[in-house]
Amino acid sequence: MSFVEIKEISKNYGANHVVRKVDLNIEKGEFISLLGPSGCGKTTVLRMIAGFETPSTGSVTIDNEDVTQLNPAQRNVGMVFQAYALFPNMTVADNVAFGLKIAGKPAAEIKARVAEMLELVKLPLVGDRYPYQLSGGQQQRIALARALAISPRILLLDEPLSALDAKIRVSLREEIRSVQRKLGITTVFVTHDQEEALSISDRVVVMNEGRIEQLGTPPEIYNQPRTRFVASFVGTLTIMSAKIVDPVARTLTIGDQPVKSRLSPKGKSGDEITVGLRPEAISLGKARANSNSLNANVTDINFLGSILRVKMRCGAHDIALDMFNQNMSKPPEVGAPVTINFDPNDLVILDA
Amino acid sequence: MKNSKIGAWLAVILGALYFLLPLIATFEFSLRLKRGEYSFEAYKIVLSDPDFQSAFTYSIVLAIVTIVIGILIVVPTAYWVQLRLPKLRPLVEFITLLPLVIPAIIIVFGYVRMYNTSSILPLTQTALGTDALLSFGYVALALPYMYRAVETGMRSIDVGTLTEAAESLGAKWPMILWKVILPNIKSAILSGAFLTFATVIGEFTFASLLNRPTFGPYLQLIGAKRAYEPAALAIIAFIITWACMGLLQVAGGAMRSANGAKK
Ligand SMILES: Nc1ncnc2c1ncn2[C@@H]1O[C@H](COP(=O)(O)OP(=O)(O)O)[C@@H](O)[C@H]1O
Ligand SMILES: [Mg+2]
Repeated sequence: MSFVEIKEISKNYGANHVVRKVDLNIEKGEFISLLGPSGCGKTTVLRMIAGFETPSTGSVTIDNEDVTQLNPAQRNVGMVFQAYALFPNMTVADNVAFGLKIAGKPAAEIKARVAEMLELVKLPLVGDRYPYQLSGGQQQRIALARALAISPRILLLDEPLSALDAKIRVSLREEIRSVQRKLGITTVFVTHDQEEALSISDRVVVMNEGRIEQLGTPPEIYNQPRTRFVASFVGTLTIMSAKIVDPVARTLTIGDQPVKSRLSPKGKSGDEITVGLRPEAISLGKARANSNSLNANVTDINFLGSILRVKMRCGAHDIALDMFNQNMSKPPEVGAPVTINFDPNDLVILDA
Repeated sequence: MKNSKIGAWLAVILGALYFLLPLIATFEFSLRLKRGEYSFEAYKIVLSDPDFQSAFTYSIVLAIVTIVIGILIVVPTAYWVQLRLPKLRPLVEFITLLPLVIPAIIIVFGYVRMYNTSSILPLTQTALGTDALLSFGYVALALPYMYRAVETGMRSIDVGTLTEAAESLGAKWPMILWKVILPNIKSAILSGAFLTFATVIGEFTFASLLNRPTFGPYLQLIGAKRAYEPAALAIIAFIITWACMGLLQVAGGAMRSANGAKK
C-alpha cells in the first residue's frame, strides 16, 4: 500500500474532460513532479489531492485514509502557490504561525516552531517584516515555511518558481529539494518546465490532455521516452520514420540506410515505425564498430555558446546534432556531405 | 494655445463660482443674526438647541447601526460572489445599484405598505420597530456605495488564493473572513462606511415619511420657522459631509500606498 494512492480520478467541467482516469501511487518521502504543457490538467490533479476540487470519479487515499470527500482543512496537506499567497496583513512570523494558531497550539510552542521553520528556509531574521518588504524568492520561502509549519502529511507545490527570475528559480528549486530531503516529506511538485522536473524529482509524471503519458525516473523519461509527445516535450528530439527489416535481429532502415536498435521494435518485417534521436547522442565522423551511421548533408549551423547545433538533411528527414564548441575542431561547412554516427542504445523507438 | 488656456481657466472659475457663491452667500447670511455686525450667534443657537442635539445624535446612532448591518450583509456577500459565484457578479451589481434608480419615496411607500400596523410584520407599530425599518431602508439606500467599495477592495487582493492558503492551513470560512479577508479590505470598508454615514446624515424622505426625528426633518423644520439658523445648519451639515469626504480620502490614500508597496 503506497502512502498516497490516486485511483482513476477524473474531473469534468460540463463536457470538458480536464483529467481522465489518472492513476498514481506515491511512496512515503518521495518527490514526484507533474510535468506537462499549460492546460494539461496538472493543477487540477494537485487540487484534487489538496481537496480544493472533488473528483468527478475515482478516489484519493492518504496514509490508508480515504480523503476523497474531505475538505482541505481536514486533510492536513501543505500547499504552496505560484502567487505566494502570503497574508498581506500579517508579519512573516504571523504568517508562519497561522496554521499553528488555528490548531490551538500553545504560544511558546508556536514561537519555537516559527523560529525553526524560518531557520529551515534560511531566513531567520525576517520574522517582523511584512510580505511586501520581501523579494519574490523570499516570499516563496516564507510560503514554504508556512506550509511546512503544520507538519503536513504531504507537501503540494503548484508552479512555485514560475513567477521568479531564472537565477533564483534554480537556487530555490535546489533549496526546496534539500528541505524536502531533510524532512523526508512526501511531495508533489507541478511544473511545465522539463529541466526543473528532471533536476529535482525522484519520479516524473508527464501529462498531456488530462492523461498520464509516462511515469518514470528522470533518466527513464529522458532516455527512454515512450511516446512522441514525451520525447518532444522533454528535451529536443529528431523524429524519423523507419522501416522494420527484422524485428528479432533488431535491424531497421531509415531512408534506405540500415541501422540497428537495442530494443526490439514492435511489429513485423516491413512495418513503418517512429524513432527518435537526441542531438547530443549523435556525433560526426566515420562509424565505429557496432555504431550506426548515416550519410547526410549539412544545411545550417547554429551557434549556442558552448555548443554548436549542426542541422542536416538525411533523406526525407532533418536531423540535428550538438557538438562542443572547441577552438581546435573546425565545424563542417554548410552544404558539405557528412557521415554521422550514433549508438544503437540511443535510437529511441516510440510507441505513438 | 494661449486662448485655449484662458478658456480653460474661465471654465474652472465659472465652475468654482457656481459651487462656491451659494455657499459663501449662505455662510455670510448665517453670520448676520445680530443687526449690524457679523457673529456666530446663529451657530450658538443651533448648537445649543436640545432638538438639534437629539436629532443629530439620533442620526449618528442610526448611521452607525446602518454601517454595521451594511458591513455584515455586504462583506460576506461580496466574498461569496467573488469566490464561488463569479458568474453572478453582474446580477449582484445590478441589484446593488437599484436604490440609485428607484426613488426613495417609492421604496418608503413600499415599506409603509409592507410593514404597517395591520401587516404580518407590523414594524411601524413601535418606535423601535420603525427605527429598525429606517435603518434597514438606509442599508438599502447605501448599498451601492458600500458594495462598490468592498468589491473594489476584494478585487485588489487575491481572495481566491488567500482563502485556499488559509483553508489548507486548517482554517474554516468564518475564521478566514475575520482573520484574512477583513483586515485586508479595512480601508475599502472604511470608505464605504463614510459614504454610508454621509448618506444617512443627509437623508430626508425616509425619515420624514416614517416620522422619525432625524437630522433631515429637523433641518426642514427649522428652515420653515427661522431665518438665520437654517443657513448655519446648512453650513454645519456641509462641514460634516466634507469631513467625511476628507476621512475617505485619507483612507483611500492609505489603501493605495499599501497596494503600491505590495509591488
Ligand atoms: N473551474 C474550472 N472550470 C472550467 N474549466 C476549468 C476549471 N479549472 C480548470 N479548467 C480547465 O481545465 C484545463 C486544465 O487546467 P489546469 O489543471 O489548470 O491545467 P495546468 O495546471 O496543467 O495548466 C484547462 O483547459 C482549464 O481551462
Ligand atoms: Mg496550472
